[in-house]
Amino acid sequence: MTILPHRPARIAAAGALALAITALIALVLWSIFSAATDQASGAGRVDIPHLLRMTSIQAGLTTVLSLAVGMALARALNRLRFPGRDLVVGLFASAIVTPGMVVAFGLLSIWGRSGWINQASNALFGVSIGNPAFGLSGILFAHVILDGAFAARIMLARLDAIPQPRLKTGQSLALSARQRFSIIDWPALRGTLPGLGAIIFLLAFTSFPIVLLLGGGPANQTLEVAIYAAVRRDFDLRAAVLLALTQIGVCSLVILIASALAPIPTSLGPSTAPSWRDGMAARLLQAAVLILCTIAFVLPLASVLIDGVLGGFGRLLSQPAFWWAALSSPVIGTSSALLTLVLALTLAMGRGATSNSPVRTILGMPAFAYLAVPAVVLSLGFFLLVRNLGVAPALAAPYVVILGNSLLALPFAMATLGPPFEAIARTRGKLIRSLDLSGWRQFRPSNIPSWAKISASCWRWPSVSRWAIWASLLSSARRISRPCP
Amino acid sequence: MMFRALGAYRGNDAAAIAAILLIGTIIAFVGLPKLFERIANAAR
Amino acid sequence: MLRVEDLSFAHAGQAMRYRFALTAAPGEVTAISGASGSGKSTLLDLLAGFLTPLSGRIDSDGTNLVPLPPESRPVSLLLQSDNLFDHLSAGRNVALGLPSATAKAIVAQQVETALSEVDSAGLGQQTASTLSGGQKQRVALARTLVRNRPIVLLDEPFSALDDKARVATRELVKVLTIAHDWHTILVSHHMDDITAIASRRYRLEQGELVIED
Repeated sequence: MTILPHRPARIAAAGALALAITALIALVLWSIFSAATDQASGAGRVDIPHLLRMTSIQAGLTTVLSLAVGMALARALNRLRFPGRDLVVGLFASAIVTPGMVVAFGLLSIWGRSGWINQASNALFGVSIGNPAFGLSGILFAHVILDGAFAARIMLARLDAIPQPRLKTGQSLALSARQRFSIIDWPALRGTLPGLGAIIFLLAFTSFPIVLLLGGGPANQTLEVAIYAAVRRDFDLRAAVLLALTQIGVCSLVILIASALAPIPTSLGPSTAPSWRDGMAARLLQAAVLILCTIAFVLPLASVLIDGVLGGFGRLLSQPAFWWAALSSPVIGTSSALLTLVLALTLAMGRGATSNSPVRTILGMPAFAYLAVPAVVLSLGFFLLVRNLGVAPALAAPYVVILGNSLLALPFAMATLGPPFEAIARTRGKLIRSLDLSGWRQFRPSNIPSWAKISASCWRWPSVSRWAIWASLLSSARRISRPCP
Repeated sequence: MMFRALGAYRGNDAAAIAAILLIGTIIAFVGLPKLFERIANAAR
Repeated sequence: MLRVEDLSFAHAGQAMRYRFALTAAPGEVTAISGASGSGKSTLLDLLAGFLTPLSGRIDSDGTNLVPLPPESRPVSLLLQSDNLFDHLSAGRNVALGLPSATAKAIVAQQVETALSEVDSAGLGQQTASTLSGGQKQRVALARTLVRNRPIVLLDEPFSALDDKARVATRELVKVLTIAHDWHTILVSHHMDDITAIASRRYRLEQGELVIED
């Protein structure tokens, strides 16, 4: 039986916070519902079955393609050793925080109507290749670039964590590349697929900037973009509520199924060097996969940098709006990261202090509920709530953005912080009890390094949603002041 | 801001914002955790 | 005869330089003991080919093994854990010791014979993850049998076993070594294992092997 340290204060603090978060969700949803009920106009213009079908097809294809690309890329990175490998691994890891709209913009500048490829094709052959960056193909391409790289990094961590004795046994048995994959790699990877697939599906299902930039019209709209259009263009709150409920329903279903199948993988372990190289043919294939994926990932980002530099920053730097954004973004980002850290630490420490399953669920559910709530819905709810309270939206906007960002980042921060806390509680539980150490005494200077390390990794998760949803939320904060009657 | 620049057909501005956003992201992703780890190592 | 001649090695970034020399006869268990971190596993990794020595020779009946990759060496490995692939059956784990082109009927017959020889005849269909520690080591020994390589490297193979399984497994190792003329190298820090089955004993001290009487 696992002996956990006695920490009632941690459980109480986490419980209070979970209750506050639940109350906030309830208030936000209530604000939207009451506004929708007050509104006279109907939601006749939205075709939910079509939107649901299109969003599911897009998210489903993204998931399958990203997992396939991620698996091939992870295998190539696990096998090949070359100068600059750490840089390439770090590059793909950065996909987690690369803003979707930057990739979308990069794809447009390469594959768009006046992009590099069309310019070259026109100059060389006098023909245009059209605009493959728009529509479903563009959306899929952009999603697979980001989510495939993300999947690869998670799967690489799994491959790198295969016990050395198992690799030694396999190598001494002279397993072929195919046998190695099916006997050693696949068992290590398959556990991650349901959870990873669910995360990618959710990311694609709730994708906003990529679909907005590359969707090319209503035919390829997702629910999230439709909610945005309903609020921003028509201020049709009934339609927005219907769409939001549909999205929350689907996302909750995916989360429930995924959590029943497997834990959500979050580990980003260190990359260790294996001594076992595959045969020449397999290595050539892996090198080809790696080169293609690197080009597909780097080219859009490089084009953004080149276009940005060539376009010149002069005009931009002369705009006061730019300086406002440039100054407020880091402040909002840092505040969100700190708030996320405090919220996640409180909840994770509370969860780690109890082995009671219902209590653990109660402490975890509110945080993870935000995986299912669309960012646009959260922004809309906050706006309506602030308006109902009689506060000027422009005044509340920065605080709302910080709080919204933190809540959206909370599931990721919890998933990162939770396991180490629980491991400490489980492995040191007996020792802590026998020494009668209070919770605070564990934060002694000798423990600071490990806490700081955990916090360092946590910092990345707020960045995930901070930068990815930054545009969505920041523009929502401004957007919400527009439809205000 | 980038959306507004694109909506107003100010492609150059949008490109510059995208580039700044990308640089900021990389700094936040690579730089901050490195800084934290350095602080952690110094405290040991 | 297996002869390790002036085999030197140093881990990157470490000042310690190992110099190994030993002789192992067929049909005998040669034991290596030493404190934790003394280089026992380094020696086995060098013999198996997972590490490349700075200089020296590993001579097996006139052939220098040093240039050969791990999979081409006449070596079988038995580690403390992770010897089996948990999701495969015991029989399939044993079959991995045979060349992949071996006919199915021959595979089945050889697996059955090997499992019988290690007193595990009924375990062929059982998934490896459901086996006990002792059963796992026996199945791994059965794979060593079908591989039929003259050098068997044992890295603390009894450490994870209870007393009963430990005694039974080490006796089995001794019997198989004699029956199949294996050059068995046993690395262990348990003196009772070593005294029970080893004919020749070395102790690792400051990076060098010292023969014990």
